Amino acid sequence: MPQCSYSRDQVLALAPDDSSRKAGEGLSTTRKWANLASDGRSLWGECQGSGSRPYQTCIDLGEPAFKCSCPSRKFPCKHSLGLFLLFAADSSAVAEGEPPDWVVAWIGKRLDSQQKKEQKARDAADKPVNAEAQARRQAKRQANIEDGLAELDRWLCDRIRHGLARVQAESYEFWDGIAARMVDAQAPGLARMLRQCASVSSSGENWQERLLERLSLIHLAVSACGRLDRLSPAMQDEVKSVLGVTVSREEVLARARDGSEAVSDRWQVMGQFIIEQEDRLRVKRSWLYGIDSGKWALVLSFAHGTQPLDVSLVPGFSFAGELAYFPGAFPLRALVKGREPDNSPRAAKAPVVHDDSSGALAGYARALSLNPWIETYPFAVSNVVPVLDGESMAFIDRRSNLLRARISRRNQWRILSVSGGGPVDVFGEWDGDSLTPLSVTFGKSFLSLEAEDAR
Amino acid sequence: MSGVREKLVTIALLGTEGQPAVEVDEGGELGRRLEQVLSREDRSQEARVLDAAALVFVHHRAGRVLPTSAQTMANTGEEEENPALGEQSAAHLPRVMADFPVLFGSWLAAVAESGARVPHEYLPDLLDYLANNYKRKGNLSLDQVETVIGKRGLWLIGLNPDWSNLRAGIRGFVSLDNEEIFQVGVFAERLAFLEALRDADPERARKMLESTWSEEAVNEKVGFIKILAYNLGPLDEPFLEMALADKRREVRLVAASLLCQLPESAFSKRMKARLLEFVEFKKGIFGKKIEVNLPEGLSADLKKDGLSVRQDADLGEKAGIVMQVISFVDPQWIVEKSGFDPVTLIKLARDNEWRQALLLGFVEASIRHRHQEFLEALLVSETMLAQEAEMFEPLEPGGRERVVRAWLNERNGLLVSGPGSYSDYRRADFIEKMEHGWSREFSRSIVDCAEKHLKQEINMRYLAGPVLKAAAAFGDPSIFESIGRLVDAQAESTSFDDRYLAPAAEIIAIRKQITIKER
Repeated sequence: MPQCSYSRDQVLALAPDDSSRKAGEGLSTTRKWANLASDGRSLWGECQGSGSRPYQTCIDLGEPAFKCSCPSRKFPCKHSLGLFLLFAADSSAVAEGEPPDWVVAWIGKRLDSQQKKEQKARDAADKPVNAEAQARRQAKRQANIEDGLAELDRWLCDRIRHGLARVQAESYEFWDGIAARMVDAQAPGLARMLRQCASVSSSGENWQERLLERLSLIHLAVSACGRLDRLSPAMQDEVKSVLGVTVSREEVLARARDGSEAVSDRWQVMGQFIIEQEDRLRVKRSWLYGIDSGKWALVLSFAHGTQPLDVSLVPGFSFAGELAYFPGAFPLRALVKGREPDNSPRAAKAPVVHDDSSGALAGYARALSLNPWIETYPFAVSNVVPVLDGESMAFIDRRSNLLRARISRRNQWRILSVSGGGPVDVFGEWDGDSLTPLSVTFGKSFLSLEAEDAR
Repeated sequence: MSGVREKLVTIALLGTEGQPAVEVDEGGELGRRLEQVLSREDRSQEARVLDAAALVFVHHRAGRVLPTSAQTMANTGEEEENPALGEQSAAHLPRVMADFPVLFGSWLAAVAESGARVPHEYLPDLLDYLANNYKRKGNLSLDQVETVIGKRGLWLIGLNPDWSNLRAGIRGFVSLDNEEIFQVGVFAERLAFLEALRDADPERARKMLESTWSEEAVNEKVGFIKILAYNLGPLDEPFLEMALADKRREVRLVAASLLCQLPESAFSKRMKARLLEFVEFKKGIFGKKIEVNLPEGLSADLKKDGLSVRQDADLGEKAGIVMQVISFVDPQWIVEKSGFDPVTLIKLARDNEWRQALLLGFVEASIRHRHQEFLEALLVSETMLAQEAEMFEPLEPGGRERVVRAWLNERNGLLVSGPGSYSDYRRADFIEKMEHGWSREFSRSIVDCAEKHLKQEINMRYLAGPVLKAAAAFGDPSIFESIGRLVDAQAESTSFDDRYLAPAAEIIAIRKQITIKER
């Protein structure tokens, strides 16, 4: 009999929105399905919709990936969710069977396109480049960036010469002006940091300290650019990434092919959340932890407007596969280069990364020493006791260290409830001052927290 | 803030213009590096400040030491006795709370009966839901709640003030040994304690209330005195008589309501005497008759017994007094004294010159004394439309079913006689609130009613939606198939939006799963 290794919550987490979630739940009953079966790798069935022909729905359980013949623009559609939920709830309801032609065809197409993609990446890497044209383009860009940075350098020094006290009265446009100049100079990373300063200067007590910290880090990046040729290659990459010079997917994969920046491991998805940025851009941040390598990785996926977000990484699950890291002094951001076609079994227990917060803090210090621009760092501490302190929550580790958490009221009580006042394992993002918890593990259970409502 | 950071922030805040070069006094590795940074000849004064700041801030972040705390969480210390619900069954809970609150009662009952408890991660949402609903309705079975939330739930309720209103009814929560809670607790805790004590030892509860009564805030007095309605007895009379003289009208009114429910109380006797003075029930040769003799006006005695000039009932002062006097007399006593049954009394009142005073008096008296026969007769008579909701509420399940069927019979099986009659439409709400398990016959007649509505014009047709939804939630399983047929038939028709009936089918599906899985 086929087994489902996904929990209901994990399947629900894949839904693009609430209404799909509800519609999917409505379809998660065998009554709605015909020819329901699975061969372990994929799961399929036919659902009678409002049209004359039933919709054919298929799920590749490995990743998971979805295919449905319905015309819905949502992804995964309610049929895929319903089918998956049904399987997650009661895998005995699904017979074992040989995939019908339409399933074989789709799975085949997926493999094909995967291979093609890899081929394309290989081709791109092998393609002879027009060295001269590329050098010209780079030189032009270089000049553009250098002009912009010189201007920013003067601007920053002016702020310090006249004093930050004057800055506080400035409007958002003041920051936006210099930020826009950085966008023109093709340094969008600095533009983003400058725009953040606008809110820092009105963020209440100690704003001046926080503002000076930001400005000094921006200035540090500007100075580093001035002597880029004297930095190590890894640091050069890091500085470029702070500036916002993007490295393409293909480039990352090509580097990974050389072997230097690729890591194969069993990756545990420790936590995840979605942030909405300007222009309706949604970014899903997934933190992975390599169980054997002890490496952290941050996988980002992006979607515009109603576009679906990638759903292949499910919190609480692990998969065996290879990650390709973006270059940098302390590589964190990565791409999933490939995963083995296993069924992503749920880990019996989340890995113990640090058993008190000093280990996690030491990791953070190491990371900062290599990359001073790190804004958030993955923090996993086992055996911490959640405590309430008025309106806020903190975690106390076994050495009585107090980790302050930023978290919504609902999640505070959910954590307290599962802990019963006892120890749990917590994972979250550390910003140097407080922790934004993204998941809590207690015994064999895993609680994924939607961090977005705390922000 | 450490010295060097503070210094750098101050310089940056004021500006370096016209200031001497920055000097810091810092030892160790950081001091050495700072000296390097600050003495670079190739950098401007401003750049040096920014360089030093970057160094100091990153150094500080990397070397961050966490504060320590002696605080510990009070561990529950108690193991759960009951097994947790399975993932699938537990998953019904968020759906029921968000989309099908009509099913909450049956979900709760099914889970409680199975002896299982809700998995811990669901508890905060469940407690939020209960705390909000309990405030409104107060008709949840708290014994079931206690089973379902388990030890962990009780522990959470104790921690979160937002859930303190749940402490009231949950027996496992209030310890009667800890009398101090009533002296020092917050209002919700004190209320919970008093309620539990009233349940266990009515005498002690009243004495406890008496002991602090003069110190209580006016707002809280009303809440406390209402608790005496449980296990009300003759020994409560002196205290209630005293409360009848309270400064606050709301307190006086509760006291009067409670006193009139004690048949032997002096208050009851006074009211009955007044009733006989103002209202005569006659069986003459020309038939039965009610005669009203209006009083002079609101005397001091009447005022003392909680009567007032009622502006709200569209009555004059004197008729208002008659109405209020009736409202404080047990309707059963009126039936016995007059020898007329409720149907007759209502009919005579309708034909009377003082119709509104008499009928409204009957309405309030029946609600106050929860007189089932009277409530039923009043609702079937369809005379007091404005008070229907208040009368329907205290009516027991059998009576509710009979009343609704009587209304349907009046209208050829329809709920609404025609478009535009507002009070008819409102009755769909009553049906939705009939959360008891419906009898087979009643379930049938509601499905028939929905089917008839589906054949009407659009502004009457849509009533089939809520009515069928209620039937799916509370109806006898024998009607499931008929509902399914109606839903399917609607789904095929293009003239009518099938989403209206679809929830009924979903409710049935969940209900089947709840009862099968949980039991």
